[in-house]
Amino acid sequence: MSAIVQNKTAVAGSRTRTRAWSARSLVSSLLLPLIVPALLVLLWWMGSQSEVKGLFIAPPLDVLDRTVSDFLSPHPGDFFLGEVARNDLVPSLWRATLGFWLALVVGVGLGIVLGLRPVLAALFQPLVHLGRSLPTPALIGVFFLLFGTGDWPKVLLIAFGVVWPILFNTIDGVQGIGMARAHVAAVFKIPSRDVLFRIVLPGAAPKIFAGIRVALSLSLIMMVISELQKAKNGLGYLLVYDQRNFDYPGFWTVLVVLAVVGIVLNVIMIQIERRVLAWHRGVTAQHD
Amino acid sequence: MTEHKTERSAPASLELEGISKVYGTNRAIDDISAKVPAGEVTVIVGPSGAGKTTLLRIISGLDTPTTGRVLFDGSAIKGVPDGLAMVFQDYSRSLFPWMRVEDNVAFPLRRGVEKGERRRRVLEALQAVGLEGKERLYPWQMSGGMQQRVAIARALACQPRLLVMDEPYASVDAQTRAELEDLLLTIQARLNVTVLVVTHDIDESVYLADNIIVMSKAPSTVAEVIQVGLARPRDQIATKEESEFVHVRAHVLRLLRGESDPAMTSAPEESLEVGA
Repeated sequence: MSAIVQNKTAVAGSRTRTRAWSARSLVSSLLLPLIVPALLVLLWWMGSQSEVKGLFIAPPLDVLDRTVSDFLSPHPGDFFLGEVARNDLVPSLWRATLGFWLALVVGVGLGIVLGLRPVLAALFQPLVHLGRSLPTPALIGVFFLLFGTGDWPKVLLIAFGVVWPILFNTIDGVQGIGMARAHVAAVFKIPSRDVLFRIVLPGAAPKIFAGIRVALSLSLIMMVISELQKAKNGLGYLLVYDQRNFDYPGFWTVLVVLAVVGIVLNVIMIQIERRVLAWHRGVTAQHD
Repeated sequence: MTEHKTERSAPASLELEGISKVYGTNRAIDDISAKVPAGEVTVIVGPSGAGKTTLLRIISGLDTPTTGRVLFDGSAIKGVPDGLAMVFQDYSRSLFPWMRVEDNVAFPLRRGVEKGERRRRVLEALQAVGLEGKERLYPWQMSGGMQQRVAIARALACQPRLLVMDEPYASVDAQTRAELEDLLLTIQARLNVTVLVVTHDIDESVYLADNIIVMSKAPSTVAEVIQVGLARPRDQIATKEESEFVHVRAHVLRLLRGESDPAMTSAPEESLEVGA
């Protein structure tokens, strides 16, 4: 009898402990990451209240209000996008997407060729190093000179800016696949198509994805830079325009939207990577 | 099921004629001539650095000899001969971690084998190595011994006439190694395939072999070819107790140490592994 009672208290005890523990983990997983951003917003608000700087720093709530009215719309016909979103956000993202994909195709394609052919890799190494070392923003004038002032110089500038991490990582990934895998392919007479798409590409994928992650954030940077001059629309253009017209709340909305776009792209990227590289996480987990 | 009884072609024979391999000024293989009879298990054993792996690469057509030639069923090979399949030493690098077990085994069959037949062969091969039901797993979800079974299944699914194995059990524990040795012998007897194994483990060489080709140190030559008369099926305990096993093992060890062999009397007490 007493044993049962004891047992019951033990169970109850462990249950409260579990509850306490889960409450604590809830606090740490949900609240902890919010503390620093909250402090940052507080700092922002304090700045907006200061006498001199407040002229340039719009209060957070005003910025939020303005962001919603500029970038969102109640009309389904506009895909719920506000006027500024349609005129500047969409063209910006369109050029960034185009530039990013161009860089992805060229970077992975060229990277595989150079990774598989050491002679070619050695031949082009100086050129690749040059391209990587040159700060792409410095070339903005060259791109306008060569390709005019429309969308193409901007797209190509973005592509040129972000291709390097993809190219380097692809070369590295392909070279790291190793002779053992090459021997397997040779002994079992794997056709070259299968070697390319089922051995080389998946084998280099972890490195390629590392390059893509860097390229993705770089493409947003290049997107803004490409629109600072000779642009008729885009978020970068909007930044300059709002500054010149002393529209500081508008200026701050662009920063907010850029941050949101960056975070969303990163989340999408993590999801894709989780699916494509599930095997890689499995292998690494096993070796830990 | 019965009408699907797989037709297996006859086991292949292999002949090495005066093989040498020189890298720059480094003579890895001096002169090797030997026969690998059809339908038997032949083991190449040699000290570390004897060019075993080089020889295996030449035999499997991955590398060309400086002089000499390899005859596969009587004709000189150019490249990897048809009917040869291989099990590599390091399963973690020879299997593809991004493919499930079934896709790894089916991978060499993608060319030339129709889908239904491919599926049937994969299941048959996995069954032969005792991995039925594991086809949806990934290699890294399995133990080392099971992964090497997958590698063996992949080779078997090709229905080889010659199965070449490069130190196949060097990266698994002793218990698993014994299991895999027995698995190999069972498969070899059932499928009637020629098997060529390279190892540095003397016990393993004697236990598996019909013939042992003992290599000398580099630049390597054939020190001796030994016929092993041990009865089949072999048993991990009983076979290793037989005086024939003990004598052959001692003989191989002496050859590898470069000692003269007075009378093949007692087994040495020291380590059984050479080099390493």
